[in-house]
This record gives sequence, structure tokens and C-alpha cells, in this order.
Amino acid sequence: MKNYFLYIWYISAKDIQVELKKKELLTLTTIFAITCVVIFNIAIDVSAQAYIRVLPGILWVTIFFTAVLGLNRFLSVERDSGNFESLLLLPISRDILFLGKVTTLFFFMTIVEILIFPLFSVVFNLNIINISIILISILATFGISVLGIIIGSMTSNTDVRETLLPILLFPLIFPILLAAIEVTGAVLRGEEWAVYGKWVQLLAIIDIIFSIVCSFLFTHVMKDY
Amino acid sequence: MNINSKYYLFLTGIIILFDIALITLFAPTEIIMGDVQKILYIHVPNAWVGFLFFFFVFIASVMYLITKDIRWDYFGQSAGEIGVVTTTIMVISGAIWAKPVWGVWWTWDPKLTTSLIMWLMYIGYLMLRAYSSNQRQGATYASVLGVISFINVPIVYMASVWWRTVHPEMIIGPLKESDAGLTVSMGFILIYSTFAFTVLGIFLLVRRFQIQQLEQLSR
Repeated sequence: MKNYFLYIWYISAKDIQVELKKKELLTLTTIFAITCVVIFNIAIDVSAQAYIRVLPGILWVTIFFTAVLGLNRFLSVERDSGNFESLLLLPISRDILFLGKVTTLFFFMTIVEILIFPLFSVVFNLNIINISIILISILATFGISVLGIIIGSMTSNTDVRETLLPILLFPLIFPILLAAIEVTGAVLRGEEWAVYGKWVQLLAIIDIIFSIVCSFLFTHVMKDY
Repeated sequence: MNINSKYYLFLTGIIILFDIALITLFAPTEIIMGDVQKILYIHVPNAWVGFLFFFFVFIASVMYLITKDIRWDYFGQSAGEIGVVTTTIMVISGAIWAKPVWGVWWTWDPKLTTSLIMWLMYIGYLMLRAYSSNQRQGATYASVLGVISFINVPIVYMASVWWRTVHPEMIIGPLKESDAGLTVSMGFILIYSTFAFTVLGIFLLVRRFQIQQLEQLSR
């Protein structure tokens, strides 16, 4: 069991080391996320009374778009360098490979979020850094990573590649986005855990279900890679 | 699949014609909603066929992943295509009904939200297969997505129910239970109509399946 997590970490650590040398993906996604926040800030009148109600949506749509952009870039590098083919030669089960890639994406998305959340707080003049929001962000980011990797590893092999990923991914992560938006909104309105606790539980359940199901299905995806 | 399709086509045609006659000539006109209520006899059967066929997609996906028999994939694709068509009819007929009755074309009611997200998921299911680089890969990828999508449907429904209760102002005059006020004859026609559309759906499924086998032979 200890080895299981160690192997997952090895798979992920390789990607992270490469990225820390190149700093390509993180730069691109962070700049894109900043652009999104700026565009939304211009598009929405922050002096209006009701703007707090749309903020959680803006935050999570930004994160979703950034995740799709980053994931497409990540997977196209993987494909062009033949990285997946090499990893398939390793004598490990495919679910380790899958969870390793999920960890990588989770790590990248978390870094972008760490940079974006304070920026968001500043430009929209609101404190969104809160223990509940951090908890929901971790759960939502993990869920997006799990579904993103399994869908992305399939779409990156199709004829239309990048275009197909957001189309397939959005309906699947709809409950995750909804939960994240609802919790962020409830926290901003100053509501209690009793109001939004069920969303956190739902997200935890989604994460558990999909990480088990997708680890299993990934074996089949890799057979026809 | 040794069904003599000429007789089956004839039988399906009779059943559907009888259904149309029942709906247009014999179904009682509802007092408050008027003729628009008759959309119910199209809307509900199509919803049922959509759900049933997406369940078939799930079965076919699981079976394909286990057996790798390409016929399961034909079955899944056929069911997915017909399911998307009937879900489209369901959404459009629902909107036509909702405008005079609810006053809006669309509202984010849990059932409507779930239907729309489900429709998007299964269009994605067909797209992923269509854009795959070869048949084997398309079959495997679509099956994987077919399993994930089916698991996601109840989660989407649950999330939409909670979402609505958080935003009660988003609901514009939903009727209580639309079938709560059905008379016996209405109930009978609805059941018959559901049966008729199921027969039609299975007829289309069989034909689509046969066409795919012919396509495979011609390759």
C-alpha cells in the first residue's frame, strides 16, 4: 500500500520537475486566469448591488476555463513527446498511472488557484480566503482533475483534440461546479455550515465515486491508446 | 436479429397511427390548459424512451468493455442516437408546453436541468465516437464515456434539486404534479402512448443496428 502511493508520487513528481524547469504551463495558465479575472471585472459593474451574487460563478468559470486550457497544453506535450507510450512500458498497474496524472493536474491547478484567489479578493474587493472555501476548492479541484484526465486522455487521441475536451467535460463536472459555486456564494453571504455542508459532502462523494470508477476505466482507455 | 422488418414496420405503423388518433380525436381536452395539455402524450413517452435508451447505452458500454464484442458497441451507438433524438423531442415539446402554462419557455427546474445536462452528455458520447481515429478506439472511448455519463445523471439530478431550493425565486409557477389531475381516460392514453413510442423506439433501434452491420460488411 505504501508503495502504491509512492509510485503515484513518482509519476507525478516527474511531471512536476519538468514543469518547474520549463515553467511553461504554469505561466500560460496563470496569465490566462488573470486575463479572465480582468475581463470579468471590466464586464461586470462591481459597484452594483447584486454583483456579489455573480462572483462565485465568475471565480469558478475562470477556474474551469483555466483547467481546460492547461489540461489541453499538458496533454498535447505528453502526446507529442511520446510520454504516455513510455509510461505504458512501466510494470505498474494503469490506475497508478492515472492517479499520478491526476495528482499532477491537481498540483498545477492548486498553484494557479493559490495565485488567483488573492488577486480575485483584491480586484473584486472581497475576502474569499476562508477555511470552507479552501476545503471546497481542494475537493472541486480534485474532482475536475479526475474527470479532466480521463476525458482528456481520450480526446487528445481523437481527430479534433482540443476542441472536444470542454464540450465533453462541462456536462460531467456540472455538479462539481454547482457545488463549488453554491458553497462560495453561501460563505460570501455569511451563512452557516448547516446551509452548505451538504454540498461539501456531495463533492466528497463525487470525488470518491469518480476516482474509483475512472481508475478502473482508465485501464480500458490505455488499451486503445 | 432475424426480425422480418416488413411486418414489424407495418405493426409499428398501426400502433403509432392508433396512438395519434387517440390523442387527437379521443383524448379529453383539459379544462384549464386546453389543447396544449395534449403535448403530455408526446412529451412523457419521449422522456421515458430517452431514459430507457440511455440505460441501454450504459448496459451496452459495460458489456462492450467486458466482452469487446463490436455488436455491443453497435447496440450502444444505436441506442445513444435514438435517445438523443427522443430527448430533443422531449425538451422541445416541454418548452412549447411551458410557454402558455408556466409563462416561460425554460426554467431551471431540476427535471429540466437534468434533461438538458443529460442531453449534452450523450451528444458528447456520440461526438467522441464520431471523431475517434479508428473504430475500435471509438468504441472503447464511447463506452468509457457511456459509463461515466450514466453514473453522473443521478448526481446531476441531486445537485439540481438542492440548487433549486437555494434559489426559490428562480422557479416561475411550477405546476404541482402534472399527472396528479389525470382522469382515467387520460391515464390510459398516456400509458398507451408510452407503449407506442417504446415500440417505435425499439423498431428504430433494430433498424439502426442492422444498418450498422451492413456498413461493417461493406467496409
